[in-house]
Amino acid sequence: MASISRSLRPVAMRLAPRATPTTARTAFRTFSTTRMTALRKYTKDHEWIDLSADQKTGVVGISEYAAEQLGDVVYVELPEESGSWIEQGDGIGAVESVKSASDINAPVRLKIVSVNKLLEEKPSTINKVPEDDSHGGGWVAKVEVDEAGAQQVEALMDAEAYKTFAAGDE
Amino acid sequence: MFAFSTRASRTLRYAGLSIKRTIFTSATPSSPSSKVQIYTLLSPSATYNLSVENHLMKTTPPDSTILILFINRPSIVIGRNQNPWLETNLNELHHAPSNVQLVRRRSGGGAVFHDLGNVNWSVIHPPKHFDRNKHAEMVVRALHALGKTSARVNERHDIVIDAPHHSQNKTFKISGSAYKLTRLRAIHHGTCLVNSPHLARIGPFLRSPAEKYIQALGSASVRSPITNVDVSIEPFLAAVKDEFTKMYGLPDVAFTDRAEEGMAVAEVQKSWEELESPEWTFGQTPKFTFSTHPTENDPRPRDGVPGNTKIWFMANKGVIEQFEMDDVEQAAFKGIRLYEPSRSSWAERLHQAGLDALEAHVTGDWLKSMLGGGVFERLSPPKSEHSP
Repeated sequence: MASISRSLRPVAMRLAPRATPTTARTAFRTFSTTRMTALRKYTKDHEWIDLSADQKTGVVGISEYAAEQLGDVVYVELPEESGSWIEQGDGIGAVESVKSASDINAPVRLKIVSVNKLLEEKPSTINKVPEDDSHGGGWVAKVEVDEAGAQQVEALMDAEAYKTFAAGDE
Repeated sequence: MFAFSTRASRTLRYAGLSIKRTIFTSATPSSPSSKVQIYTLLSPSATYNLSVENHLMKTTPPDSTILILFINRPSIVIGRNQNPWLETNLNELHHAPSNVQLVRRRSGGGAVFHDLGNVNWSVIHPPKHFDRNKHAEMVVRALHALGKTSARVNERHDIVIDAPHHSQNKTFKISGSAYKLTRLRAIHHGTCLVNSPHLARIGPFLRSPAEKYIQALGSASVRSPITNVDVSIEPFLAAVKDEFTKMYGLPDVAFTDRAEEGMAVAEVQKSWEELESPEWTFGQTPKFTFSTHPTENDPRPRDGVPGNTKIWFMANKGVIEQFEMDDVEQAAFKGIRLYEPSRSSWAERLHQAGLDALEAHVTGDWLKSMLGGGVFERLSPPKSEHSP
Protein backbone atom coordinates (compact mmCIF):
# COMPACT_ATOMS: atom_id res chain seq x y z
CA MET A 1 0.00 0.00 0.00
CA ALA A 2 1.18 3.49 -0.59
CA SER A 3 1.60 5.47 2.56
CA ILE A 4 -1.70 6.91 3.46
CA SER A 5 -2.11 10.29 4.90
CA ARG A 6 -3.66 10.91 8.23
CA SER A 7 -4.85 14.15 6.70
CA LEU A 8 -7.81 12.24 5.32
CA ARG A 9 -9.01 11.87 8.85
CA PRO A 10 -10.74 14.71 10.59
CA VAL A 11 -8.25 16.88 12.39
CA ALA A 12 -9.94 16.32 15.71
CA MET A 13 -9.44 12.59 15.38
CA ARG A 14 -5.83 13.04 14.43
CA LEU A 15 -5.14 15.17 17.43
CA ALA A 16 -7.07 12.96 19.81
CA PRO A 17 -5.12 10.81 22.24
CA ARG A 18 -4.24 7.48 20.73
CA ALA A 19 -6.27 5.53 23.24
CA THR A 20 -9.64 7.10 22.42
CA PRO A 21 -12.33 4.54 21.65
CA THR A 22 -12.77 6.01 18.12
CA THR A 23 -9.21 5.34 17.09
CA ALA A 24 -9.22 1.90 18.60
CA ARG A 25 -12.49 0.99 16.93
CA THR A 26 -11.79 2.37 13.48
CA ALA A 27 -8.32 1.09 13.05
CA PHE A 28 -8.28 -2.16 14.88
CA ARG A 29 -11.81 -3.26 15.50
CA THR A 30 -11.54 -6.82 14.24
CA PHE A 31 -8.17 -7.70 15.66
CA SER A 32 -9.91 -9.85 18.19
CA THR A 33 -12.00 -11.69 15.61
CA THR A 34 -9.22 -12.29 13.10
CA ARG A 35 -7.28 -15.48 13.57
CA MET A 36 -4.05 -13.97 14.76
CA THR A 37 -0.84 -15.77 14.11
CA ALA A 38 2.22 -14.82 16.06
CA LEU A 39 4.01 -14.42 12.74
CA ARG A 40 1.80 -11.74 11.18
CA LYS A 41 4.01 -8.77 10.35
CA TYR A 42 3.27 -5.33 8.95
CA THR A 43 5.09 -2.89 6.66
CA LYS A 44 5.24 0.88 6.87
CA ASP A 45 3.28 0.83 3.60
CA HIS A 46 0.40 -0.86 5.45
CA GLU A 47 0.63 -4.37 4.01
CA TRP A 48 0.64 -7.46 6.20
CA ILE A 49 2.17 -10.88 5.68
CA ASP A 50 1.58 -14.14 7.52
CA LEU A 51 4.51 -16.49 7.26
CA SER A 52 3.94 -20.24 7.58
CA ALA A 53 5.81 -22.15 10.29
CA ASP A 54 8.25 -23.58 7.74
CA GLN A 55 8.91 -20.02 6.45
CA LYS A 56 8.36 -21.06 2.84
CA THR A 57 4.85 -19.74 2.14
CA GLY A 58 2.74 -16.83 3.26
CA VAL A 59 -0.43 -14.81 2.84
CA VAL A 60 -0.40 -11.11 1.97
CA GLY A 61 -3.01 -8.39 2.46
CA ILE A 62 -3.52 -4.74 3.38
CA SER A 63 -4.06 -3.59 6.93
CA GLU A 64 -7.31 -2.57 8.58
CA TYR A 65 -5.84 0.88 8.97
CA ALA A 66 -5.13 1.14 5.24
CA ALA A 67 -8.57 -0.17 4.33
CA GLU A 68 -10.11 2.42 6.60
CA GLN A 69 -8.09 5.25 5.08
CA LEU A 70 -8.76 4.24 1.47
CA GLY A 71 -12.50 4.64 1.68
CA ASP A 72 -14.86 2.56 -0.45
CA VAL A 73 -12.86 0.24 -2.66
CA VAL A 74 -14.44 -0.10 -6.12
CA TYR A 75 -11.86 -2.30 -7.79
CA VAL A 76 -8.91 -4.48 -6.84
CA GLU A 77 -6.28 -5.15 -9.49
CA LEU A 78 -5.05 -8.53 -8.39
CA PRO A 79 -1.42 -9.58 -8.76
CA GLU A 80 -0.41 -11.61 -11.80
CA GLU A 81 0.33 -15.24 -11.12
CA SER A 82 3.43 -14.84 -13.23
CA GLY A 83 5.68 -17.28 -11.44
CA SER A 84 8.55 -14.82 -11.18
CA TRP A 85 10.16 -13.39 -8.06
CA ILE A 86 9.11 -9.89 -7.05
CA GLU A 87 11.41 -7.75 -4.93
CA GLN A 88 10.39 -6.16 -1.65
CA GLY A 89 8.59 -2.84 -2.22
CA ASP A 90 7.73 -3.49 -5.88
CA GLY A 91 4.11 -3.09 -6.92
CA ILE A 92 2.10 -6.33 -7.09
CA GLY A 93 -1.37 -4.90 -7.56
CA ALA A 94 -3.51 -1.85 -6.98
CA VAL A 95 -6.71 -0.78 -5.29
CA GLU A 96 -9.07 1.88 -6.60
CA SER A 97 -11.11 3.92 -4.16
CA VAL A 98 -12.59 7.41 -4.41
CA LYS A 99 -10.86 8.15 -7.76
CA SER A 100 -7.48 7.02 -6.41
CA ALA A 101 -5.40 4.17 -7.77
CA SER A 102 -3.14 3.03 -4.91
CA ASP A 103 -0.35 0.52 -5.36
CA ILE A 104 -0.14 -2.65 -3.28
CA ASN A 105 3.53 -3.45 -2.79
CA ALA A 106 5.31 -6.69 -2.03
CA PRO A 107 5.99 -6.64 1.74
CA VAL A 108 9.02 -8.89 1.17
CA ARG A 109 10.67 -10.64 -1.76
CA LEU A 110 8.04 -13.13 -2.91
CA LYS A 111 6.47 -15.12 -5.70
CA ILE A 112 2.70 -15.02 -6.25
CA VAL A 113 1.16 -18.51 -5.92
CA SER A 114 -2.54 -17.65 -6.07
CA VAL A 115 -4.75 -14.59 -5.74
CA ASN A 116 -8.04 -13.92 -3.96
CA LYS A 117 -10.51 -13.96 -6.86
CA LEU A 118 -13.31 -12.95 -4.51
CA LEU A 119 -11.90 -9.40 -4.48
CA GLU A 120 -12.48 -9.14 -8.22
CA GLU A 121 -16.22 -9.69 -7.85
CA LYS A 122 -16.63 -8.20 -4.38
CA PRO A 123 -13.98 -5.50 -3.89
CA SER A 124 -15.75 -4.17 -0.79
CA THR A 125 -14.58 -7.33 1.02
CA ILE A 126 -11.26 -5.54 1.41
CA ASN A 127 -13.03 -2.78 3.36
CA LYS A 128 -14.89 -5.24 5.57
CA VAL A 129 -12.32 -7.91 6.46
CA PRO A 130 -8.91 -6.84 5.09
CA GLU A 131 -6.95 -8.88 7.63
CA ASP A 132 -8.98 -12.07 7.30
CA ASP A 133 -6.89 -14.74 5.58
CA SER A 134 -9.65 -17.34 5.44
CA HIS A 135 -12.07 -18.21 2.63
CA GLY A 136 -14.34 -15.18 2.24
CA GLY A 137 -11.71 -12.88 3.74
CA GLY A 138 -10.02 -9.82 2.23
CA TRP A 139 -6.49 -11.26 1.85
CA VAL A 140 -4.88 -10.43 -1.50
CA ALA A 141 -2.47 -13.24 -2.40
CA LYS A 142 -0.90 -16.50 -1.30
CA VAL A 143 2.82 -16.33 -1.85
CA GLU A 144 6.02 -18.31 -1.83
CA VAL A 145 8.90 -16.85 0.17
CA ASP A 146 12.59 -17.71 -0.10
CA GLU A 147 15.30 -17.29 2.51
CA ALA A 148 15.86 -13.64 1.64
CA GLY A 149 12.12 -12.95 1.94
CA ALA A 150 11.89 -14.79 5.26
CA GLN A 151 14.74 -12.64 6.59
CA GLN A 152 12.95 -9.50 5.45
CA VAL A 153 9.84 -10.62 7.37
CA GLU A 154 11.96 -10.62 10.55
CA ALA A 155 12.61 -6.91 10.12
CA LEU A 156 8.92 -5.96 9.73
CA MET A 157 6.73 -4.71 12.56
CA ASP A 158 4.64 -7.02 14.72
CA ALA A 159 1.00 -6.12 15.42
CA GLU A 160 1.86 -4.12 18.52
CA ALA A 161 4.61 -2.09 16.83
CA TYR A 162 2.43 -1.48 13.78
CA LYS A 163 -0.42 -0.32 15.94
CA THR A 164 1.87 2.26 17.51
CA PHE A 165 3.24 3.21 14.08
CA ALA A 166 -0.19 3.66 12.50
CA ALA A 167 -1.53 5.59 15.47
CA GLY A 168 1.50 7.85 15.55
CA ASP A 169 1.58 8.79 11.86
CA GLU A 170 5.01 8.18 10.37
CA MET B 1 25.19 1.14 -33.57
CA PHE B 2 21.54 1.71 -34.26
CA ALA B 3 21.14 3.18 -30.83
CA PHE B 4 23.96 5.59 -31.58
CA SER B 5 22.39 6.73 -34.80
CA THR B 6 19.03 7.30 -33.12
CA ARG B 7 20.67 9.38 -30.46
CA ALA B 8 22.61 11.30 -33.06
CA SER B 9 19.50 12.18 -35.00
CA ARG B 10 17.73 13.31 -31.86
CA THR B 11 20.63 15.48 -30.88
CA LEU B 12 20.58 16.94 -34.36
CA ARG B 13 16.86 17.52 -34.20
CA TYR B 14 17.17 19.33 -30.92
CA ALA B 15 20.55 20.86 -31.68
CA GLY B 16 19.25 24.35 -31.18
CA LEU B 17 17.79 23.41 -27.83
CA SER B 18 20.57 21.28 -26.50
CA ILE B 19 20.68 22.97 -23.12
CA LYS B 20 16.97 22.72 -22.53
CA ARG B 21 16.81 19.19 -23.89
CA THR B 22 18.84 17.98 -20.99
CA ILE B 23 16.30 19.14 -18.43
CA PHE B 24 14.69 15.70 -18.34
CA THR B 25 17.97 13.84 -18.12
CA SER B 26 20.15 16.25 -16.19
CA ALA B 27 20.46 16.21 -12.43
CA THR B 28 18.28 19.28 -12.01
CA PRO B 29 14.81 17.69 -11.70
CA SER B 30 16.10 14.79 -9.61
CA SER B 31 18.60 16.71 -7.52
CA PRO B 32 17.68 16.65 -3.81
CA SER B 33 17.71 20.44 -3.62
CA SER B 34 15.00 20.84 -6.29
CA LYS B 35 12.12 20.92 -3.82
CA VAL B 36 9.68 22.93 -5.91
CA GLN B 37 9.40 22.47 -9.66
CA ILE B 38 7.01 23.82 -12.29
CA TYR B 39 6.68 22.34 -15.78
CA THR B 40 4.65 23.70 -18.66
CA LEU B 41 4.28 21.13 -21.41
CA LEU B 42 3.32 22.51 -24.80
CA SER B 43 2.72 19.16 -26.50
CA PRO B 44 -0.95 18.49 -27.30
CA SER B 45 -0.47 14.73 -26.90
CA ALA B 46 -2.26 13.37 -23.81
CA THR B 47 -0.15 10.21 -23.87
CA TYR B 48 3.11 12.17 -24.06
CA ASN B 49 2.09 14.58 -21.30
CA LEU B 50 0.99 11.75 -19.01
CA SER B 51 4.29 9.99 -19.72
CA VAL B 52 6.29 13.05 -18.66
CA GLU B 53 4.15 13.27 -15.53
CA ASN B 54 4.86 9.59 -14.82
CA HIS B 55 8.58 10.11 -15.36
CA LEU B 56 8.68 13.12 -13.04
CA MET B 57 6.76 11.13 -10.42
CA LYS B 58 9.44 8.46 -10.51
CA THR B 59 12.53 10.67 -10.70
CA THR B 60 11.92 13.83 -8.70
CA PRO B 61 13.04 13.84 -5.03
CA PRO B 62 10.53 12.12 -2.70
CA ASP B 63 10.05 15.27 -0.63
CA SER B 64 9.63 17.63 -3.60
CA THR B 65 6.41 19.12 -4.92
CA ILE B 66 5.91 19.42 -8.67
CA LEU B 67 3.32 21.35 -10.68
CA ILE B 68 2.74 20.32 -14.30
CA LEU B 69 0.44 22.21 -16.65
CA PHE B 70 -0.60 20.93 -20.07
CA ILE B 71 -3.34 21.13 -22.66
CA ASN B 72 -4.32 18.14 -24.79
CA ARG B 73 -5.78 17.90 -28.26
CA PRO B 74 -9.35 16.51 -28.25
CA SER B 75 -9.18 13.25 -26.29
CA ILE B 76 -11.47 11.06 -24.23
CA VAL B 77 -9.52 10.08 -21.14
CA ILE B 78 -10.84 7.15 -19.11
CA GLY B 79 -9.78 6.03 -15.63
CA ARG B 80 -7.38 3.19 -14.95
CA ASN B 81 -10.06 0.60 -14.19
CA GLN B 82 -12.78 1.64 -16.61
CA ASN B 83 -14.44 -0.10 -19.53
CA PRO B 84 -14.20 1.78 -22.86
CA TRP B 85 -17.09 -0.27 -24.31
CA LEU B 86 -19.27 0.99 -21.46
CA GLU B 87 -17.92 4.51 -20.98
CA THR B 88 -17.48 5.68 -24.57
CA ASN B 89 -19.08 5.43 -27.97
CA LEU B 90 -16.35 3.59 -29.83
CA ASN B 91 -18.15 3.99 -33.15
CA GLU B 92 -18.12 7.77 -32.75
CA LEU B 93 -14.44 7.60 -31.88
CA HIS B 94 -13.71 5.26 -34.78
CA HIS B 95 -15.30 7.69 -37.17
CA ALA B 96 -12.92 10.38 -36.11
CA PRO B 97 -9.71 8.66 -35.05
CA SER B 98 -7.49 11.59 -35.94
CA ASN B 99 -9.72 14.08 -34.18
CA VAL B 100 -10.44 12.46 -30.84
CA GLN B 101 -8.07 10.02 -29.20
CA LEU B 102 -9.12 7.49 -26.59
CA VAL B 103 -6.62 7.37 -23.73
CA ARG B 104 -6.55 5.33 -20.53
CA ARG B 105 -4.70 7.10 -17.72
CA ARG B 106 -2.93 5.38 -14.82
CA SER B 107 -4.92 7.13 -12.11
CA GLY B 108 -8.38 6.17 -10.91
CA GLY B 109 -11.70 7.89 -11.47
CA GLY B 110 -14.02 8.45 -14.40
CA ALA B 111 -14.08 9.40 -18.06
CA VAL B 112 -13.49 13.00 -19.13
CA PHE B 113 -13.14 14.95 -22.36
CA HIS B 114 -10.07 17.07 -23.05
CA ASP B 115 -9.55 19.63 -25.77
CA LEU B 116 -7.56 22.79 -26.37
CA GLY B 117 -9.93 24.76 -24.11
CA ASN B 118 -9.29 22.45 -21.16
CA VAL B 119 -6.25 22.92 -18.93
CA ASN B 120 -4.80 19.90 -17.14
CA TRP B 121 -3.05 20.61 -13.88
CA SER B 122 -1.08 18.03 -11.95
CA VAL B 123 0.61 18.16 -8.56
CA ILE B 124 3.11 15.46 -7.60
CA HIS B 125 3.89 15.42 -3.90
CA PRO B 126 4.85 13.16 -0.98
CA PRO B 127 1.99 10.75 -0.19
CA LYS B 128 1.95 11.64 3.46
CA HIS B 129 0.56 15.02 2.50
CA PHE B 130 -2.15 13.37 0.41
CA ASP B 131 -5.49 15.09 0.71
CA ARG B 132 -8.11 14.82 -2.00
CA ASN B 133 -9.17 18.46 -1.78
CA LYS B 134 -5.94 20.30 -1.07
CA HIS B 135 -4.96 21.01 -4.67
CA ALA B 136 -8.50 21.38 -5.97
CA GLU B 137 -8.71 24.18 -3.39
CA MET B 138 -5.52 25.63 -4.88
CA VAL B 139 -7.24 25.79 -8.29
CA VAL B 140 -10.35 27.28 -6.68
CA ARG B 141 -8.22 30.10 -5.24
CA ALA B 142 -6.78 30.68 -8.71
CA LEU B 143 -10.33 30.94 -10.09
CA HIS B 144 -11.33 33.33 -7.31
CA ALA B 145 -8.35 35.50 -8.20
CA LEU B 146 -9.73 35.63 -11.74
CA GLY B 147 -13.09 36.82 -10.46
CA LYS B 148 -14.87 33.45 -10.58
CA THR B 149 -15.98 33.70 -6.99
CA SER B 150 -18.63 30.99 -7.03
CA ALA B 151 -16.04 28.28 -7.75
CA ARG B 152 -15.80 25.69 -4.97
CA VAL B 153 -14.89 22.07 -4.32
CA ASN B 154 -17.88 19.77 -3.89
CA GLU B 155 -18.25 16.50 -1.98
CA ARG B 156 -16.97 14.54 -4.98
CA HIS B 157 -13.72 16.56 -4.97
CA ASP B 158 -14.83 18.23 -8.22
CA ILE B 159 -14.81 21.98 -8.75
CA VAL B 160 -18.23 23.44 -9.53
CA ILE B 161 -19.56 26.91 -10.19
CA ASP B 162 -23.06 28.27 -9.71
CA ALA B 163 -25.43 27.93 -12.62
CA PRO B 164 -27.29 30.93 -14.04
CA HIS B 165 -30.70 31.46 -12.40
CA HIS B 166 -32.71 30.22 -15.35
CA SER B 167 -30.86 26.91 -15.44
CA GLN B 168 -32.34 23.59 -14.34
CA ASN B 169 -29.13 22.72 -12.52
CA LYS B 170 -27.87 24.35 -9.36
CA THR B 171 -24.22 23.93 -10.22
CA PHE B 172 -22.06 22.96 -13.17
CA LYS B 173 -18.88 20.98 -12.96
CA ILE B 174 -15.83 22.69 -14.45
CA SER B 175 -13.06 20.47 -13.11
CA GLY B 176 -12.63 16.81 -12.18
CA SER B 177 -9.89 15.10 -10.20
CA ALA B 178 -8.09 11.77 -10.17
CA TYR B 179 -5.32 10.40 -7.99
CA LYS B 180 -2.45 7.95 -8.15
CA LEU B 181 -0.67 6.80 -5.02
CA THR B 182 2.61 4.92 -5.00
CA ARG B 183 4.92 4.09 -2.12
CA LEU B 184 6.97 7.25 -2.46
CA ARG B 185 4.84 9.69 -4.44
CA ALA B 186 1.26 10.81 -4.92
CA ILE B 187 -0.26 12.49 -7.96
CA HIS B 188 -3.36 14.63 -7.85
CA HIS B 189 -4.27 15.71 -11.33
CA GLY B 190 -7.34 17.44 -12.62
CA THR B 191 -8.97 19.14 -15.54
CA CYS B 192 -10.37 22.63 -15.84
CA LEU B 193 -12.73 23.57 -18.64
CA VAL B 194 -11.54 27.07 -19.28
CA ASN B 195 -12.97 27.85 -22.72
CA SER B 196 -13.68 24.62 -24.57
CA PRO B 197 -15.37 25.21 -27.93
CA HIS B 198 -16.60 21.61 -28.00
CA LEU B 199 -18.88 21.25 -24.96
CA ALA B 200 -21.81 20.26 -27.15
CA ARG B 201 -19.71 17.56 -28.85
CA ILE B 202 -18.69 15.85 -25.64
CA GLY B 203 -21.94 14.07 -24.78
CA PRO B 204 -22.11 11.63 -27.71
CA PHE B 205 -18.51 10.46 -27.16
CA LEU B 206 -19.20 9.63 -23.52
CA ARG B 207 -22.43 7.73 -24.08
CA SER B 208 -22.15 4.07 -25.02
CA PRO B 209 -24.86 2.48 -27.16
CA ALA B 210 -24.07 -0.79 -25.37
CA GLU B 211 -24.66 0.56 -21.86
CA LYS B 212 -27.78 -1.49 -21.15
CA TYR B 213 -26.22 -4.72 -22.42
CA ILE B 214 -22.99 -4.52 -20.44
CA GLN B 215 -22.37 -5.33 -16.81
CA ALA B 216 -18.85 -4.45 -15.80
CA LEU B 217 -16.50 -4.67 -12.86
CA GLY B 218 -14.29 -1.68 -12.22
CA SER B 219 -14.93 2.00 -11.81
CA ALA B 220 -18.04 3.64 -13.28
CA SER B 221 -18.24 7.32 -14.20
CA VAL B 222 -20.70 9.65 -12.52
CA ARG B 223 -22.34 12.00 -15.01
CA SER B 224 -22.33 15.70 -14.18
CA PRO B 225 -23.52 18.69 -16.19
CA ILE B 226 -20.46 20.66 -17.29
CA THR B 227 -19.69 24.18 -18.39
CA ASN B 228 -16.74 26.45 -19.13
CA VAL B 229 -15.31 28.80 -16.50
CA ASP B 230 -15.02 31.28 -19.32
CA VAL B 231 -11.60 32.77 -18.73
CA SER B 232 -8.60 32.84 -21.07
CA ILE B 233 -5.92 30.16 -20.92
CA GLU B 234 -2.91 32.37 -20.16
CA PRO B 235 -4.31 34.17 -17.12
CA PHE B 236 -5.56 30.84 -15.78
CA LEU B 237 -2.12 29.21 -16.11
CA ALA B 238 -0.54 32.22 -14.42
CA ALA B 239 -3.08 32.18 -11.58
CA VAL B 240 -2.55 28.45 -10.89
CA LYS B 241 1.23 28.90 -10.85
CA ASP B 242 0.78 31.84 -8.54
CA GLU B 243 -1.31 29.87 -6.04
CA PHE B 244 1.10 26.91 -6.23
CA THR B 245 4.00 29.27 -5.49
CA LYS B 246 2.10 30.73 -2.53
CA MET B 247 1.79 27.21 -1.09
CA TYR B 248 5.25 25.88 -1.79
CA GLY B 249 7.52 28.82 -2.57
CA LEU B 250 9.29 29.90 -5.73
CA PRO B 251 10.35 27.02 -7.98
CA ASP B 252 13.90 25.68 -8.03
CA VAL B 253 13.16 24.36 -11.52
CA ALA B 254 10.81 26.10 -13.96
CA PHE B 255 10.78 24.52 -17.36
CA THR B 256 8.73 24.92 -20.50
CA ASP B 257 8.86 21.92 -22.84
CA ARG B 258 8.29 23.30 -26.31
CA ALA B 259 9.38 20.35 -28.39
CA GLU B 260 8.53 17.10 -26.66
CA GLU B 261 12.07 16.93 -25.46
CA GLY B 262 11.12 14.26 -22.96
CA MET B 263 10.83 11.77 -25.83
CA ALA B 264 14.64 11.63 -25.77
CA VAL B 265 14.34 9.96 -22.36
CA ALA B 266 13.96 6.19 -22.67
CA GLU B 267 11.50 5.97 -19.75
CA VAL B 268 9.22 8.62 -21.25
CA GLN B 269 9.30 6.91 -24.63
CA LYS B 270 8.53 3.54 -23.02
CA SER B 271 5.62 4.96 -21.04
CA TRP B 272 4.30 6.70 -24.16
CA GLU B 273 4.40 3.44 -26.10
CA GLU B 274 2.48 1.68 -23.34
CA LEU B 275 -0.22 4.36 -23.15
CA GLU B 276 -0.57 4.32 -26.96
CA SER B 277 -0.92 0.54 -27.10
CA PRO B 278 -4.34 -1.14 -27.46
CA GLU B 279 -3.11 -3.69 -24.93
CA TRP B 280 -3.21 -0.90 -22.33
CA THR B 281 -6.16 1.16 -23.59
CA PHE B 282 -8.44 -1.85 -24.14
CA GLY B 283 -6.55 -4.77 -22.59
CA GLN B 284 -6.58 -3.24 -19.10
CA THR B 285 -10.40 -3.47 -19.01
CA PRO B 286 -11.76 -5.34 -15.97
CA LYS B 287 -13.98 -8.35 -16.56
CA PHE B 288 -17.43 -7.67 -18.06
CA THR B 289 -20.41 -9.46 -19.51
CA PHE B 290 -22.46 -8.51 -22.56
CA SER B 291 -25.96 -9.92 -22.92
CA THR B 292 -28.80 -9.29 -25.37
CA HIS B 293 -31.30 -10.57 -22.81
CA PRO B 294 -31.94 -10.30 -19.07
CA THR B 295 -29.94 -12.79 -17.02
CA GLU B 296 -29.96 -13.85 -13.40
CA ASN B 297 -26.96 -11.65 -12.66
CA ASP B 298 -28.16 -8.73 -14.79
CA PRO B 299 -31.97 -8.72 -14.95
CA ARG B 300 -32.32 -5.28 -16.57
CA PRO B 301 -34.86 -5.32 -19.40
CA ARG B 302 -33.30 -4.99 -22.87
CA ASP B 303 -34.82 -3.65 -26.02
CA GLY B 304 -33.71 -2.66 -29.45
CA VAL B 305 -32.04 -5.97 -30.23
CA PRO B 306 -32.72 -6.88 -33.85
CA GLY B 307 -32.98 -10.51 -34.89
CA ASN B 308 -34.02 -13.45 -32.76
CA THR B 309 -30.65 -14.68 -31.54
CA LYS B 310 -29.58 -14.49 -27.93
CA ILE B 311 -25.93 -13.51 -27.53
CA TRP B 312 -24.07 -13.59 -24.22
CA PHE B 313 -20.37 -13.31 -23.63
CA MET B 314 -17.89 -12.67 -20.87
CA ALA B 315 -14.65 -10.82 -21.58
CA ASN B 316 -11.63 -10.27 -19.39
CA LYS B 317 -8.84 -7.85 -20.34
CA GLY B 318 -10.73 -7.18 -23.58
CA VAL B 319 -10.58 -10.83 -24.64
CA ILE B 320 -13.64 -13.11 -24.90
CA GLU B 321 -13.39 -15.91 -22.36
CA GLN B 322 -16.83 -17.43 -22.86
CA PHE B 323 -19.40 -16.93 -25.62
CA GLU B 324 -22.94 -18.29 -25.88
CA MET B 325 -25.35 -18.17 -28.80
CA ASP B 326 -28.93 -19.11 -27.85
CA ASP B 327 -27.56 -20.49 -24.57
CA VAL B 328 -25.14 -22.83 -26.33
CA GLU B 329 -21.44 -22.24 -25.71
CA GLN B 330 -19.41 -21.46 -28.85
CA ALA B 331 -15.76 -22.34 -28.31
CA ALA B 332 -14.74 -20.74 -31.61
CA PHE B 333 -15.32 -17.27 -30.16
CA LYS B 334 -13.04 -17.82 -27.18
CA GLY B 335 -9.87 -15.75 -27.40
CA ILE B 336 -11.23 -13.06 -29.73
CA ARG B 337 -9.73 -9.72 -28.82
CA LEU B 338 -12.63 -7.27 -28.86
CA TYR B 339 -10.26 -4.45 -29.72
CA GLU B 340 -8.66 -5.91 -32.79
CA PRO B 341 -10.24 -6.01 -36.21
CA SER B 342 -10.67 -9.73 -36.74
CA ARG B 343 -10.05 -11.45 -40.03
CA SER B 344 -13.66 -12.46 -40.20
CA SER B 345 -16.54 -10.20 -39.23
CA TRP B 346 -19.09 -10.91 -36.50
CA ALA B 347 -21.56 -11.85 -39.26
CA GLU B 348 -19.21 -14.42 -40.79
CA ARG B 349 -18.43 -15.95 -37.42
CA LEU B 350 -22.09 -16.15 -36.44
CA HIS B 351 -22.90 -17.76 -39.80
CA GLN B 352 -20.11 -20.30 -39.26
CA ALA B 353 -21.57 -20.98 -35.83
CA GLY B 354 -24.85 -21.98 -37.43
CA LEU B 355 -27.02 -18.89 -37.93
CA ASP B 356 -28.58 -18.50 -41.35
CA ALA B 357 -27.02 -15.82 -43.53
CA LEU B 358 -29.65 -13.13 -42.96
CA GLU B 359 -29.86 -13.61 -39.18
CA ALA B 360 -26.06 -13.69 -38.94
CA HIS B 361 -25.86 -10.46 -40.93
CA VAL B 362 -28.48 -8.64 -38.83
CA THR B 363 -27.04 -9.78 -35.50
CA GLY B 364 -23.44 -9.32 -36.62
CA ASP B 365 -23.96 -5.74 -37.79
CA TRP B 366 -25.71 -4.93 -34.55
CA LEU B 367 -22.85 -6.36 -32.48
CA LYS B 368 -20.42 -4.27 -34.47
CA SER B 369 -22.48 -1.14 -33.82
CA MET B 370 -22.47 -1.95 -30.11
CA LEU B 371 -18.81 -2.86 -29.70
CA GLY B 372 -17.01 -0.74 -32.27
CA GLY B 373 -15.44 -1.95 -35.45
CA GLY B 374 -11.92 -2.56 -34.27
CA VAL B 375 -8.85 -0.95 -32.91
CA PHE B 376 -7.89 2.68 -33.37
CA GLU B 377 -5.20 3.78 -35.72
CA ARG B 378 -2.05 4.35 -33.72
CA LEU B 379 -1.03 7.96 -33.89
CA SER B 380 2.45 8.69 -35.08
CA PRO B 381 4.87 9.80 -32.35
CA PRO B 382 4.16 13.31 -31.17
CA LYS B 383 5.77 16.02 -33.27
CA SER B 384 6.83 19.37 -32.07
CA GLU B 385 5.16 21.23 -34.94
CA HIS B 386 1.78 20.23 -33.50
CA SER B 387 2.41 22.39 -30.48
CA PRO B 388 -0.21 25.07 -29.96
